[in-house]
Amino acid sequence: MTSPSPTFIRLVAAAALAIVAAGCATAPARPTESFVRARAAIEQADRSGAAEYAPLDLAAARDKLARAEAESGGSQAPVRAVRLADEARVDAELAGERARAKKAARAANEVDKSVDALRVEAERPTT
Amino acid sequence: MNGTPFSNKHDYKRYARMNNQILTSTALGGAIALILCGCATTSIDPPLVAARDEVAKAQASPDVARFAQADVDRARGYLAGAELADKRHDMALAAHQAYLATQTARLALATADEHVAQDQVASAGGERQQIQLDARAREVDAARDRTVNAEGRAKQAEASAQSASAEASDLRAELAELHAMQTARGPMVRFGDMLFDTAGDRLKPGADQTLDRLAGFLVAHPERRVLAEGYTDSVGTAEFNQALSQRRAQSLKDALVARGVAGTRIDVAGFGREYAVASNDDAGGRQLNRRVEVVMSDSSGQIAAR
Repeated sequence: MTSPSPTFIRLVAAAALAIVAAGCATAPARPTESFVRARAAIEQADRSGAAEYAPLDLAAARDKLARAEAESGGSQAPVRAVRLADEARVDAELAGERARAKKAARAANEVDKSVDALRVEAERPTT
Repeated sequence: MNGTPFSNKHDYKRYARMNNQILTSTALGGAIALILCGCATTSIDPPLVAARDEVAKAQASPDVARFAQADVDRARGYLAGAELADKRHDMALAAHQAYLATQTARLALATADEHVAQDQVASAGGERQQIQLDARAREVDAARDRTVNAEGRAKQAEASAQSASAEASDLRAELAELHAMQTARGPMVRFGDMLFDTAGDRLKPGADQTLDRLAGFLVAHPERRVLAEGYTDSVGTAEFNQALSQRRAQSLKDALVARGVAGTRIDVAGFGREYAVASNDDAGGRQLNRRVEVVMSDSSGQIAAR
């Protein structure tokens, strides 16, 4: 049994590289990528408490993702589905961020109040 | 028919045809303009306008610049894509990119809000510590102020006590200089009969030195009043002696007024032969009884009556 010639190995390597490179280049346009990112963003938003703090943004994200999934299944051109999924992703990102911002604002407000209380306490004459 | 626009039928026809052409081209131009207008309105497409506004808002915020510059950059990328798609009349892509730009700009604003609030929470710890330090410092200051005030009051009291005792010792020295006697009614200066002519009421120049000192003392102590009381010996009628004692006391008052003491501060009284200080049986005793006594008030102007 003879081992494969160096030329053959080079050819295979080049082909593999080309496939990988092509995959990278086309990756953003593939519907699955957009769907995966949109789903991840929605989960992330959910964990950030978007259901409580940014329910409208989260609902918009879920609605768009559902429509994107429905359209990708049919005969519709996938570009519309990809766009809907991308929009669902930014909606979900915004929902999560708004939830985090609201929680942070609430924490800041409470801390402010406690600092004010401390200040009042501290400035009360000790006599 | 010179002056009319159409000299013959042929001319009129040509005019009508020309008119028609103008009308047609005008209509065509209008239609083209309308279409162009339609094209122009694409650039004020609502999603694109919203995206521009939102991106501009995010870019204008200093908090966003501090905390969410990457998000703003992404939003600007989407907006550029939207503008490009708009120019190429790909309305669906333009709307999609504009939407991504809008939401990403909002994401930048929310991110900045979150970081600002987090900073606020983080700085609260320091603020809390500072408040406690300030309060402690104020307590220390207050305690020090109280100490300083107490010391100040003590010093003041000491100083006023010293000045009071200095005044008192000054007063004693001055009264000693006047040869004032300490009596139960207050300090008293006695003018003996040697300073008056016999049975007379005019003071002799020998009294001047004592009068000067007394006047000087009264000017220096405006809070004090004096009562000049005249007395005689038992020789002569009581009425005569009463009047004489009164006149002598009055002479003394006049002499003090002449030296600048206000008359209102000087009361006069004559007691005649009463209140003898010595026996009227011998000449020496009677001489002692002929006298004018000036009794001084205390510092509040009160003089105990006889």
